[in-house]
Amino acid sequence: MSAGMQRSDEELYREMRRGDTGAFAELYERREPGLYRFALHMTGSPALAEEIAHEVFVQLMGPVARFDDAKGTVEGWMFGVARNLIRSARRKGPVEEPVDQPYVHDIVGGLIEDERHFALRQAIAELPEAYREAVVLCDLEERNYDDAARVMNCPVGTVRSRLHRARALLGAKLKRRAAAEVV
Amino acid sequence: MDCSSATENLVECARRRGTPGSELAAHLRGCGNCRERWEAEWSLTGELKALRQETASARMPAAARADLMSRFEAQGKVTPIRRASGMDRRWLWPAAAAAMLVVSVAVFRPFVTPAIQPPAASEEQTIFEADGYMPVPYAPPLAPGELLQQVHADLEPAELVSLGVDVDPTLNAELPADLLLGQDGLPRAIRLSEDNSTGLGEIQQ
Repeated sequence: MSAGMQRSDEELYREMRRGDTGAFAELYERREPGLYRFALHMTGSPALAEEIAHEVFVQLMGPVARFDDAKGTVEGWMFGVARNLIRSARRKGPVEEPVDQPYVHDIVGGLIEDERHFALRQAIAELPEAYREAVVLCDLEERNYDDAARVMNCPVGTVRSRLHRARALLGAKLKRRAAAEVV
Repeated sequence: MDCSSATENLVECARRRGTPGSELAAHLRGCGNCRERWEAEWSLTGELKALRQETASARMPAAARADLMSRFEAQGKVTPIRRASGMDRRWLWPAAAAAMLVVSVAVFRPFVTPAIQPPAASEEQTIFEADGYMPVPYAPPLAPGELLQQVHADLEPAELVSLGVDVDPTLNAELPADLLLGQDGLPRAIRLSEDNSTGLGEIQQ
């Protein structure tokens, strides 16, 4: 199949429900990276991110098909499930990895953690959830405001204002941290 | 340009790593606070970009993919329990019409025949209730050996009421329910399920 004939997520989903393993594999390859990174940035924990992304796919293929294409996109549904699972996990207890255990090592093949990234990740982790979502989707996943609004289930203007507020908070946190390091 | 609109513009400009337009540039030259914010936003964009690149190749382990694929293959092609979509729900109308017919027959039958004995609690009703199902009133009894199919659907409150479920018919939401259908397509038993499409509800099967 040529690139121009790429099947939509919804077509893949329908094929998948009919038992097409190839369609499921294609949907997985297409959506797993973004979904996993979203969970990773939101939770700060690779183990939890893996658990969440895995569970989203388990639910997608489950015997009760919960996705309804009249109500949205497959991708929106998957991120919606992931968001709920992240919230649920947070209610159960702290989800961030211990701060002295950089989370990137075991997933990106031993990239060296530098202090600047560590500070930024920690600042993102400390943001209120709604602000963190805006930063993760718009600045780390490079979604446009329309896409982010669909995932966050809120108006575009809200995404924009949350992102601006989140960036101001991040800037302030990083500045305080830098000042503390100088002292 | 005031500081408020300058801030709006400078954040978007810094996110794109763009060059401030003439109006914004003039404001930045004359406003220390906004200039400071501009520098902070510019720097933050660079740091976020570096973090993005660092995690760009992050993926779930191959074992997770293999597990999902084997689960999918083990599940097979048949997905007997499925959510009824808008199109799939078309069967409900003939089923409702047939149910109405049954109700009509039951109501008018006393005028034709002298008496109708109320149905005794059958074995199937006991089985329904054991699984949390409620028998649909006036549903015809199952034939010996008749198979049941379980179907999941989101139903309007009015539809639920017509199937004997005690819900507020003015409720403005569809409620998830499991139905047991006979081989004639008529519902025999129903229960409200806890499926909430959020990924957190328990699935009853």
